[in-house]
Parts: sequence; C-alpha cells; structure tokens
Amino acid sequence: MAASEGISFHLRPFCFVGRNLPAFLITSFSLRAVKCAASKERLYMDDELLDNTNDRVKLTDRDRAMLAGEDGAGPR
Amino acid sequence: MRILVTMAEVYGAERLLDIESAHIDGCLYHGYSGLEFAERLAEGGARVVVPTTLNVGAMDLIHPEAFRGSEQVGRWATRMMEAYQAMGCQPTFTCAPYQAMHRPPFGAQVAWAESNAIVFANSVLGARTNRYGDFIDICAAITGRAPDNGLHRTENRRGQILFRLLGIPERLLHEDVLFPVLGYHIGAQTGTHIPVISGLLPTTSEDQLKALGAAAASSGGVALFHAVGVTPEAPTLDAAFQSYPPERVVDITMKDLRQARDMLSTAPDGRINVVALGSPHFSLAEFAQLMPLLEQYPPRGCGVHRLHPSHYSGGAGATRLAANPA
Repeated sequence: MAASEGISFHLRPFCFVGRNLPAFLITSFSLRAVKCAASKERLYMDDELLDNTNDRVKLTDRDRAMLAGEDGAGPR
Repeated sequence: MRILVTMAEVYGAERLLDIESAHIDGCLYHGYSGLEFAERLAEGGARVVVPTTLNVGAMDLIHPEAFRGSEQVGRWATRMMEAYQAMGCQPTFTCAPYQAMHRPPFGAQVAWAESNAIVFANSVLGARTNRYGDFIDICAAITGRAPDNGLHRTENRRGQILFRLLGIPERLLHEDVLFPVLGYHIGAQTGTHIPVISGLLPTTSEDQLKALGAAAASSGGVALFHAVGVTPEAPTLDAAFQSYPPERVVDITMKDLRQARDMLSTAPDGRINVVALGSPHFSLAEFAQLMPLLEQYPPRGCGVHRLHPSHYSGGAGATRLAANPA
C-alpha cells in the first residue's frame, strides 16, 4: 500500500473533526503509514479500522459495549 | 472508544487499561474544528468517568477585557472551555494541576496531556502516562480507558541515557536558575528517550524538578526522566536503568551549562521592561519566595499593581506580573 493511500485512509475515521484536523493525528497516522509502506507491511483493512471488529486489541465486554454505544460513554 | 481502539492498534497495544484520572489540553482553542469536536461530544451526552482537570484556555474568563483577539475567536474559545466543563471536567485551567488538587499516587495509571504536566506526573510523582494530545485525552476521560503501551508499562520506563554532572559547584546545585538550563540541555540531547541524571542533590525541590522537566519537554520530547536519589523510580542508578546498561553516557560540565544558558538568554544587556514569571504556573512555595524579594528589591520606575495567578490566561499558564506605571 502506498504511503499516500495509507494517510488518506487513516484519516477517514476522524473526518467529523472538521477541516482543521489537528496535526498530531495527521502526524501519528502518517508516520505509521509511511513506516508500513517502507517495510511493505500490509496496512489495515478498511472495514477493520472503521468497525474495530478485528482482534488485534483484546477488548473487554465493557469496551465492546462502549464501542456499540451501549454504555453511556457518549457518541461513538 | 473507536478512536481509542484505533490508536491502540496504531501503537501496537494489545489491550486497553483503566485510568484513574485525566488532564485535558484540548480545551485550548487552536481552531474551529476543536470546538466542533468538543461540542459534538458534549451535545451527545458525553461525561467524563474519572477525575479530570483542564489545562489553560485561550480566553481569560475572569478578565475578558484582557483578551487580545477577534471577538469571534474569543466567543469560540469560551464555548470550547464551556463544552469541556459540560462534560464534567473541573475548570482548573492550569498547566500545573499537580500543584494543587490533582496529584495521582505513585504507580497510578492516568491519561494526561500538556508536556510539562506529563513529565512531572511520570518523573516526580511516579504516575504513568503517555504523552497524550488534544482529543485523545478527552476520549480517555470519557471511557476511563487508555491503550496499554509505552510509559504505562514498567519495562518501557527504564532509563536509556545517563547524564553525569561533572564539576558542577554544589552552590549551583541549590540555585533555581540551574534547572531550566539543565533541562533545556538534557532535552536537546535526549529527544524522546528517557534520561537518567546523576549528581543532583537529594534536597532538590519539586519546583526545581518542575522547571527541569518542563524545559526538557520543550527542547526535546522528554516524557519521563529519572534523577538518581531524587525521583521515586530511581533510588539507585541500577534501579533507574532496571539493571540494564545505559545506551549512552553524556557528561555535563559548566561549559555545557553556559552554552545552554547563552542559547536561552537572547536579550541584550540593559533596562528590563517586563518580567514574566510562572510558566509552568507558579507554586505557592515560589510565591512565598518571590514576595519578600519584591519588597526587598521593588522594580524601579514602576509599581507592581497586580500580582495574581492568571488561571484563565492563555499561553502556557503564565502568571502575570502587571507592572503598570504608578
């Protein structure tokens, strides 16, 4: 995956933030994307990132409830 | 939670952990998107679930007439500060929450933003936080969770670079002026690694460590330092490095300190027009030290009309000394 694809892809979950996306998010995700591209490591699948359905991070039941918006922790 | 889980993936964290408190820097207005973010959360009913303090805001709520900016920006900045309060954050508006009400105990897992607060919490209090930034900080506060990686984990808190003070006069080790200069030098040499400092006095004060950490977090990306015999995770050199050898050893001499001082001191000799104190925020101990000095050496040619901690001021929590002509 090209670095540029990785950058735009990774910014997608934060689109609601608005037009002045904070630089730290761009930096964090861009660096990861560039690193992955350089090492030819496969980056995340689109659906995995958007839905957090993968098992890379072991979540508790309460974490999953919050992800589903069922735990009163505000908007998803 | 989606943002936190995504960040955990990016960091390579395997799980999230519970946090005991949070300190939010996202309340400082940098642009309209930050306001949209905060108001979206607040209007959606988000509430923090752990004790949460706020860093400085862009508007002086006590002295709004002191704000130097457009009316629209002032309004947006105020709305932003209010949105965070609506989510249950304490309106502390200080960059040094550790000096008053917010002191996590040793080993506590917390999610703090604001570089000087982060380095103080990790180094001086022995609490555990990564360098959280705007927006991630409030996500952690709302969920009570944070990615389990970096400085949250014991193995990542071992020292990496040893800084040895060589030939530094003991008299200077007592002086407040040493610590921002030393911190500036160490931060510039360290980057984002973890420095271990040997040679400081066991009597080094919290305010001196505050100054050291704040400077190191400015010239470098230091989130944690150890001072042997001073900070809680460094009772010995071996403990500071968790029995590993240092990756690098750097000696600090008076020549290094003079160079660092000269880099920081760019004003020419002559009349001083303004003295700004308290970045990070002045502590009560520092005020107690300052007041007798002001009485003993009053500023010439002007009167000190106002001296107050401007908790609602912008910038890095400057304490303002307003010396208006009498």
